[in-house]
Amino acid sequence: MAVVTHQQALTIYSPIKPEQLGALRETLQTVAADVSGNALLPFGQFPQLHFARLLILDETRPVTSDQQRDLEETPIPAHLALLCNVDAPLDDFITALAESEGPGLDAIFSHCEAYPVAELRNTQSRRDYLRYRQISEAAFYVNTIGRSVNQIRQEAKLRQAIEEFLDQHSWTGRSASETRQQIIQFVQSTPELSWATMPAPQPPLWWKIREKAHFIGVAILGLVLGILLSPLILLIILILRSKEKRDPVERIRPSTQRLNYLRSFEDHWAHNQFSAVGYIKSGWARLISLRVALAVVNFGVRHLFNKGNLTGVKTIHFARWIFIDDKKRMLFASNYDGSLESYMVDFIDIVWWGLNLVFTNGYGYPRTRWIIFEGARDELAFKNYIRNHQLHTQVWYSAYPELTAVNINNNQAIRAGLSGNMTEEEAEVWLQRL
Amino acid sequence: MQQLELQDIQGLIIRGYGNLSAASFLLLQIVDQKRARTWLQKISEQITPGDQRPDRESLNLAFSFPGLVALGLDKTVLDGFSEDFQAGMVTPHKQRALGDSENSAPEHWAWGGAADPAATVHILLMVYAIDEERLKNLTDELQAGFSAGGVKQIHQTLKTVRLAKPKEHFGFRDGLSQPLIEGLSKAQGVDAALPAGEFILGYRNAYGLFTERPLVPATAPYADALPQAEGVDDPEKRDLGKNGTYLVFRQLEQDVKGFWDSVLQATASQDGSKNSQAAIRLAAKMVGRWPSGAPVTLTPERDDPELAEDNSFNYHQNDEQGLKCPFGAHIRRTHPRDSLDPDPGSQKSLDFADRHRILRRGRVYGEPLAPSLQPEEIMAAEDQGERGLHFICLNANISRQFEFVQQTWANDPRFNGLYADPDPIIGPGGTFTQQARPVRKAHHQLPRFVQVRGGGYFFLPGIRALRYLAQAE
Repeated sequence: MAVVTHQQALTIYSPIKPEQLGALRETLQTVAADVSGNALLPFGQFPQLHFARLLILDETRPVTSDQQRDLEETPIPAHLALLCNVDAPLDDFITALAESEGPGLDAIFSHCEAYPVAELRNTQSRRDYLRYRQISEAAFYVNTIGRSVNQIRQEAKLRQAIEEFLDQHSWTGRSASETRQQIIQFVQSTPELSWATMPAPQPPLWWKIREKAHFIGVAILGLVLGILLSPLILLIILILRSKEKRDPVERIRPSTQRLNYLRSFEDHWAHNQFSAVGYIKSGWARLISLRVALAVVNFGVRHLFNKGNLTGVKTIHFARWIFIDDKKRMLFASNYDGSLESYMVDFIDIVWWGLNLVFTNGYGYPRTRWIIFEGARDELAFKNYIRNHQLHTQVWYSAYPELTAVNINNNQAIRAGLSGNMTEEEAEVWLQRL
Repeated sequence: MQQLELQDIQGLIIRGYGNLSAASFLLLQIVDQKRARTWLQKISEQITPGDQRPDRESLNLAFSFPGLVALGLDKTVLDGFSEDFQAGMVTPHKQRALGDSENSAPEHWAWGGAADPAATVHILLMVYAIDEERLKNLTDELQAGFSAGGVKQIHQTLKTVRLAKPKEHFGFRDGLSQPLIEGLSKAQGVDAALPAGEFILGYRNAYGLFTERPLVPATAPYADALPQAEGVDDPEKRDLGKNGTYLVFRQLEQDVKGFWDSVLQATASQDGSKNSQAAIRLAAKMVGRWPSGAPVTLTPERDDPELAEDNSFNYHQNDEQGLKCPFGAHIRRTHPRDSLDPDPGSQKSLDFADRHRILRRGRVYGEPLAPSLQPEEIMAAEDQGERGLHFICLNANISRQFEFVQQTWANDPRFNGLYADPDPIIGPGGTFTQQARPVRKAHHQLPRFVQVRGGGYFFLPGIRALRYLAQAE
C-alpha cells in the first residue's frame, strides 16, 4: 500500500430543495440506522475514511432581535453538509464516492439543488457535482498527520494480540529486554502480524522537504508582514477592543428538551462528534481578524501541533473551521474523545485563549477582553453558547469507534517499539505502554 | 476571602456530624401545598445551621426539583435552578453517563427511579442523633407531624449504621480525602483550599464567578428576607440559592461477598488454592488504599496503619507509571490529584483536577458481614442481608463536579490512557490492570460490585431560602 503522507478534509455544502427536506431526513435516517453497512451509502466501504458526517443546517429563522438584524436580513435556505476526514489523496476518495455502488450519493444528494438529473448521473457528473459543491476549510486540525486508517486499525489489532499473549504467560522475574524479545518473537512468528516488525512507513523525503519549506516560507512571510503591517494590526486590535466592549452577548440558556435531544446521540462510542454553526460578527475588521486567526491556527496545527498534543489537549482526532454562506457564517466540526462536558472543560481550562482568538468573532460569544482573555473562561456562558450553536448531526461514521486518540497514539508507539535496539531502561519504559 | 454566612448555611455542608453516630433519611412527598408550607416553616426552626456544632441531634432538609414544583414555586424562579438539577438523574443519557444500566437501571430502583408520580420524592429529610434511641424519638416526633403537615413518607426510612473506624462495607477506611473550603477554620493556612463557590451557591467559584442559581425579583412577596444577589447585572434580584447547594444522593448496594470472592479468585494460585494476603493486596490496589486507609502510593507493598490518615501525597513524581498505585485504582481516578493532563505533576494539573471535587457526606447502611471489618473475617463470613452506602455528595455544579467524576473519571474504561478499565470498585465491571515490571498484570472480566438502588438530585437551601420557600406563593 502506498505511503499516506497526510490527511485531508472534504466538505460538501449544498442547498436542499425545500420540498425535499422531509424526504432527505428520512433518507438520512436510513443511513444512520447502519452507518457502516447501509444499502445507500455504506461508509464502511471506504478504506481511507476516518470519520464522516451528514448534517442538515435548517433554514435560518426570521430576524427576532434588533441586534441581529444586520446579520440576517434574508434567511439562508436549508443546506446539507457532508464532512469527511480521509487519507490523501482526496481525489481518490471523491472518485470512490462518485463510483460508490448502489444508490450511493444519488439517494442523498438528489434532494439537493443542482444535482444531476437521473438520466445524466454517472461517475463523471457526480464528481463534477461534488467538486462544484466542495468548499475548502479555513483551518484543519489532524491529531497526528500521516497516520492512515489502515495503520490505526492494524496497530489496534497488534496491541490486542500482544495483550492476549502477555495474559497467557507469567512474566515475573524476567528482564525488560528479555520480555520485549519474547514479544517481538511472538509478533514475528504470527503471520498476520509480521508487518508490525517493520517500522511504520515514513512519508517520502520530497514531502518532508516540502513541509519544511512551507513552514519556513510562511513563517518568514508572516513575520515580515507582521512587521510591515504592524500599524494596521495595532489599529485592528484597537478597533476590536472597542467593539468587543459593546458587542451583544447571548444570554440564552438551552432548554432541557433541546439538551436531552442532543445528548441522546452522545456517549455511545469512545468518541463523540461536535458540529456547530454561528454568524460572524459584521464588519471588515472582524473578517480580517477571523481570517488571520484561522490562518495562524492552521499554520500552528500543521507544523507545530501535529503529533497528538494540541497545547495540552490530547483528545481531539480532527477539527475544522469552514466559512459558509458568503462568509456570513462559520461551521465548526470536530471529533473528540469522552463526554461533551469534558471537551468543554478542556476548552475552558486549557485552550481558552485559542478558542477566544477565533470565536471572539462569532456573534453572541461570551465577552472577551483584548481578544484572547475572558470569553471561554466565563464557564456557564461558554457552555450555553456551545450548546446553543450545536447542530444535530444526522449521520456520523467512525472507522474506529472503540479507540481514543490517546489509545491510537499508544498503539503506534507499541508498534514502533518492536523494531530497533533498546537499552534495558528503554525497554522498561516501552513495556509500560502495554 | 469571602466571609461565609455560617448561620444561614445548613450544617451538613460544614460538617458530616461525625459525633452523631445515628442517622436516618426520610423521603417525603408533598400532598397538600398549603399545609406543607406551614410545616416547612415550623421545620425551618429546627434546621441545624453551620455555626452550631450539635452534640445531640441535627436536622437538615433538601428538595428535589419536582418538590419545588409541587411547592408551587414560580416558573421564572424554577428556571433559575441549574439544568442538570432540573433534568434529574434518570434520563437515558444520564444512565449512560452514570453507568446505571442492567441491574442498576432506574426501573429497578427502590426509590427515585420510577416514572410513577405517586412515587416521586419531593423532600429529603436528614435526621442525625447521638444514639439510636434519640434518633428514634426524633424521627417518631417528626413522623407524627407529617399528616397534619401536608406531607407523607413515600418509602421506608433509609436507615444507617456506624461501622468501626470508620470503614465502609468492603473493609476499607473511607472519607479520608475531602476538599477544604476557603473561609472555614479547617482550611486556614492551607494553600489547596478551594473557593467556597465550588460547594456553596452565592459565593465565587474556582473561576472567580458565581455558579448559576435561582434569583427572585426584589419586588416579589417575602423576597426582602433573601440576600441581595451578587455578581448579576440587575441589582433588583434576590438570591434564593445563596448558602444553598446541590445534593446528590445514591443508594449504592455493595456485594461484599462477591467482591472478596472475586479478588480471592483472581489471586488464586494455579492449583486453585486461595491466598487471603494476595487478595487483600489486589483489593488494596483496586481501591488505592489499604484497609487501614494508608495510601498504596506511600506504602505499596504492605498496610501501614501509621500512614492511615496520611493524605498529603501526589502521584506524578512518586508514581508516574502507576507501579505503586495503578492508574485504574478507585482513588487515583476519582481524585487524580496531579496525575492528569495538562502537564502531570504541575500546579496546572492540580488546578485542573480541583475543578471536579465533591464534598462527601454519605452514611453506611446494613449490618457488616463481619463486625470487625477485618478482610480475613469478611472473607470467612456467611453472606446474608443487604448492605451498602447511602452516598451523599455536595457540589455547586452537578455536571462539572459529581457527573464529571462519575462519567469521565470513574466509568470511562479509557480513563488516563487505559483501554477497558472502568473504576474497579464503583464501575460496571471489566478489566483491572496493575502496572508492574516487566509488564502489567491484567485481571479481566471482574463483575460489578456496586449496584444502584435509588437516588436523586436535591437542592439543599440556605435557611433563609428555606423560610422563603415556605412562605412564597
